[in-house]
Amino acid sequence: MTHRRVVVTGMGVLACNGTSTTAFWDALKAGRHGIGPITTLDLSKHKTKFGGAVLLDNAALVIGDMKQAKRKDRFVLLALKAAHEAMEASGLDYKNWADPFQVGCVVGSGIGGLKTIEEECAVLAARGPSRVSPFLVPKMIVDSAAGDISIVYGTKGPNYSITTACATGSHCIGAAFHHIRSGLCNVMIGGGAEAPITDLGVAGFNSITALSTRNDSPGTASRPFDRDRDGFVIGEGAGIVILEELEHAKKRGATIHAEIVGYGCTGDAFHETQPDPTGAGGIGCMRMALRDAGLRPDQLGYINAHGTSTKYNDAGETKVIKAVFGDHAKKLAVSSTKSMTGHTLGAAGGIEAIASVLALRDGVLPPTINYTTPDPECDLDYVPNQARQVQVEYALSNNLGFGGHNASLIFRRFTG
Amino acid sequence: MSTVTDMDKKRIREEVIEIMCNKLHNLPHPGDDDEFDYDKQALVPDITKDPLDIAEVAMDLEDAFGVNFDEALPGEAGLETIGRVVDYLDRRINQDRPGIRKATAED
Repeated sequence: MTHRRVVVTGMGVLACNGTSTTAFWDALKAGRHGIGPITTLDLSKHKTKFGGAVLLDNAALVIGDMKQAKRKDRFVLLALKAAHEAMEASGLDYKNWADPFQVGCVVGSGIGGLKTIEEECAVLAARGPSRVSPFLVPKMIVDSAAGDISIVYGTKGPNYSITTACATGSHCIGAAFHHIRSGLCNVMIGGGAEAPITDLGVAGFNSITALSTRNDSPGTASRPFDRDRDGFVIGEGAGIVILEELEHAKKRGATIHAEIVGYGCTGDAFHETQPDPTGAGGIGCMRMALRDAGLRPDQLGYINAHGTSTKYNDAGETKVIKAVFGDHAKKLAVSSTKSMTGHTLGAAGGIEAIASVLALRDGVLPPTINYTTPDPECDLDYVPNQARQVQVEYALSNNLGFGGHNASLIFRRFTG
Repeated sequence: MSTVTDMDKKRIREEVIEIMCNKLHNLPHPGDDDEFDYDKQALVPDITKDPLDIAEVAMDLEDAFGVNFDEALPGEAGLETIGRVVDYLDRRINQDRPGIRKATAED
């Protein structure tokens, strides 16, 4: 059976180092991060006092009715704004779908409306249950991003969220891709959004010692694969793509940025937060994506790694890449754009899929910044500190989530 | 603890309209439309069809007047118009006393 081909025709990004796809890509190519002290919260008692915040407040994220600023959690506002950029860029006539049931949306979040939950818990404690906002439930639920996007764009096909912690965005895009390839849909909106920089969010990740505490130098704190890495940098953002069946896109003369050709998803079945030291889940995931794409390992040129800047992840992911790619691993370029965006959890898969697409489209591999001291356990080519001009044909984006959720997406340079 | 007593109906009406205008964007602010009849204006569906809007307005009114909407929410049977909401609050504040008090931050 010949698969229907699926292409990327729209992208929308919000990250700490760019509030549009162009600004984000310019920042990645220049090796520019957006990490700094968090000034919107009192983190004086938290071990970590910095992160990768998107430099737009909630009011600035709203498109249209300002009432949304109060009625939506920040993660949904981020999702809506990124979806807006992606949809406008795609040129799709979303007010006149030929068949709205063949247009869907799979957009998730790792956590959902954490700030809303915090605020309403405070109301509950101080004023009792009758004062809890009627907006608590619609604001906090993870699926509200997908639901709200579908309302704005009239998409009536598959509509749901996948929640797999840090792998959320990748799983959402993978599922969206398969919905088109299988013939179920012609157009899908896919990606993730997250707004975890809250009192509870920072405290919780600090409590499991996941976050960097390099408070004296936030800009160098996210240093994936570097020997002196000490944890990830919490970030917020959204990354949304428009996926479209190739002939559907061609027929309307759409700009095609890249093709999506493979998706793998596996579980570690090992531990709540630690990756399986054997790497079996990650190995199986990348192999599944290669199989899904019909590729040999040596055809791949670039990996946008999960690369969180934690001790366990970066060494483990390196081991997994070497197991999957064998001798070819040394020829692969592997970089972590989390060095510049921080770790945006459920949004990471969306944002990094876009980084991978842009790398293929423009023939530029974004770097891993803050890479100064090699780690014997991390011995691949991490595209250190400077972007590299090289045209590769296939790029793979990895994201691995707490709970042992693994996701890999493979994109191909679009040549027709 | 402050108490809502002898709040005249005119003041209740002004406060209800102000609270509703802050939450219901289809409701004109006083002075914006001289022809607008707040007393006879039906809330649903003319001003809003969104149950979340109604729930939020009800909560704000309860906070402001220390009165609960036990039987019906604004817009529902018996409280269809802004005028009827004002009547209800007036009755609860000025006729059903004692037991009505203004909600405070300590509540």
